[in-house]
Amino acid sequence: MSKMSKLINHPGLFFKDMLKKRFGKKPEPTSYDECQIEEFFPYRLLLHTGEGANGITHLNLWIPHFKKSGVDFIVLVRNYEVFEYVKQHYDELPIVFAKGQKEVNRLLGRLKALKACFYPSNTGNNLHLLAFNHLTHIFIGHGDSDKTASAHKYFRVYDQNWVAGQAHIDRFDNAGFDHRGLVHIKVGRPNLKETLLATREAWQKRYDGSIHLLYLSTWEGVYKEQDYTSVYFIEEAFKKIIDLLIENFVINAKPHPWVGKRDKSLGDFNYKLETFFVENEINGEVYSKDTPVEELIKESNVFICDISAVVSESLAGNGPIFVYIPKDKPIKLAESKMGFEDYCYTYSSVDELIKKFKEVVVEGNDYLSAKREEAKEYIIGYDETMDGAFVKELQKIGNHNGKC
Amino acid sequence: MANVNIKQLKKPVETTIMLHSADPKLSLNHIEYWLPVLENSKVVFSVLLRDKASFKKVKSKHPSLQLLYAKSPVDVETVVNAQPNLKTVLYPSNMAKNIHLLRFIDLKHVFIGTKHSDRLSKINKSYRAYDEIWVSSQSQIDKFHIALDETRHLQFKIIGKPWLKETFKRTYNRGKEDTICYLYDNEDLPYELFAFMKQEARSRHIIYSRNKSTSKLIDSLKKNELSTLKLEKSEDIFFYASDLKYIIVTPNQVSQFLLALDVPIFVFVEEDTECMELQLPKECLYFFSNAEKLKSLAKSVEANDELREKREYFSEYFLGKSMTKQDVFYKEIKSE
Repeated sequence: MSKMSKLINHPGLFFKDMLKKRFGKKPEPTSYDECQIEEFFPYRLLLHTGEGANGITHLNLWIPHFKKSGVDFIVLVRNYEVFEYVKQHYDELPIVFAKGQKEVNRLLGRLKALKACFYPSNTGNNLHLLAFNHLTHIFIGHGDSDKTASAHKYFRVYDQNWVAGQAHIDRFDNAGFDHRGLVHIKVGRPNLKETLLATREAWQKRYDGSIHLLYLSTWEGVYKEQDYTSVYFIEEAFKKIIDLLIENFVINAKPHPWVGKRDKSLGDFNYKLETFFVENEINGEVYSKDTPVEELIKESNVFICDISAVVSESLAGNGPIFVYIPKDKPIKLAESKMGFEDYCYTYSSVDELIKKFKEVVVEGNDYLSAKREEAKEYIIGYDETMDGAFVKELQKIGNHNGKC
Repeated sequence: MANVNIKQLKKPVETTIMLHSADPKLSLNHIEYWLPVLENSKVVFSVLLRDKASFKKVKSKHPSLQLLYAKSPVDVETVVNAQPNLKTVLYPSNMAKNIHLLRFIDLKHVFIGTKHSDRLSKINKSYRAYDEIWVSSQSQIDKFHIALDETRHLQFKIIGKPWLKETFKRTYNRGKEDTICYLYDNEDLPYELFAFMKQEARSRHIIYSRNKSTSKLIDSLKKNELSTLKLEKSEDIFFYASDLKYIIVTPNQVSQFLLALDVPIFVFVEEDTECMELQLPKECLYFFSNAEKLKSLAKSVEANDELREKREYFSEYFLGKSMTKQDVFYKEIKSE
């Protein structure tokens, strides 16, 4: 939201933020130990986020499954705002804020029973924990995608890399660098289990045969040559899709929260899309970043995505997936054995999307259906997800007395 | 979005090597250590700094360098993209911001450490992000193997200590051998030494100490017409390598670098000292506790320096003497 639109649409918030910015800056503490961590309390696991605001999403993704394991764990955050948020939302959990290496050293010195640290993302300050050689360091990620960030050399600092399915292991094998010794463990996608259960019925039969389309975009990227987003033409595509669908249908959208970050012409994209929905009498909503994507996938049976982790998430939705692949740009991906074209209907223009949409959704020729099932196992790790492999692995470490 | 000046890289150069320093706020020692070595190597290299003040300082000091500043990960990407021939990144220190470069799969990432990497006591699993670790000697490789259960893919290369090459050269061409060096931090030692120095009247005495009593000692030596010199920095001792006869030190002044001087090292230990920590194994050092003992020890060592072989062995083990002599660093960097 730009300052001007904030002033017009939310004047209260505008002035509150202005005052906060001008007068409200308090010196940030370097560490905060809300629960007075007891030195002799046997915390076995530590969940760490070195992120700023993104850390909230990562913690929301994993904390429920750590809780489910029943193993004593502690949450360490490195950003004070994130700490305040997490403390409010998980007041029953031991949550600690530590800013720098010194504070981390002090905390870890007290956690005598600690065995393993878990990292949902690669941030520079992970280094402060990696200094502890006696602990097992485990990367758990926060999604699964073919982007090059999924498999690079920095992952070698960890002892274990917990992945959803075989696809991620193959991405490492295909990345062309030596990663011997890094142990990959398949744990599935615990956050998608409910979605997988809710979408077992064939997509054509769900919602009384009506189409619930979910649009998940990426943003325009740091550089123009890495711009894989479909936001520029999606309204034109929706107009043509509406003409095809005629009867009952729902279109929901969750654009990437960073849309408009580089290209200012895309500013307020969500608002513009909402207006478009209203003007064209589309039954649906535009969701913000606060809505978990798996909740939306659960309520949908057809997906239009851009290249990003949402493609593999959409696999859990058990319905056709349309993915925009720009033709005019080199696309750098960490390749597994299944490319998008193997299990998604790829397109590079509105006309191509409409042609494929008509054939697959309207005429019912979903010829990639079997391949999606294969991809579900290969990418999401369907069996491991349903088996609760993630929680079992946590319990294994928590109950083991020796070195992991 | 990018906040980076790539003007210098727009020159038609084929930069293949980049030195990266993410050290904060004007910690330029690492960079200053490697710059002359890299310049000597004649490879085409660039330098990427992550601290703006450091960038400005280095830029004014070395205007001809291919020098870059990158604040954010996006800036780092811009810098990498601007150097299409870039193959290898050299890291003198293991900093959090190194992660922004380490994610580039197509680049080779080499940790080269600093002048004082021998003191590197914090070896941890994060070093596994690099492809290669260039160390000065076998002692550092052993430290890695002790610290990490498994070193996995890491390749170690012994490159010696390029900055000690001149010192080694001086020891091969020994001159008068009339100089005794004293490095101490003990208030009692000067009184013990004075008697010894008077006896060594023909020698030149060079002293490094921050002790208050040192000025008095030097005055006394001058009054007695002894050739005396006070060093500003302990490292100045290396300039006298060709004339040295031996070194007299207190335990805290014992360092691995003294081995580069290739002369007997006498360590002053007070009577009844039970244990002390030294940076060198005791088996390559001579010990004394008073002037009388030093006199007789010096005499016998002059006749037969029985620890010479040990010093030679440890000089190789800690300093990579032969690798320094063979210019291994230059060969490795040229082959990148």
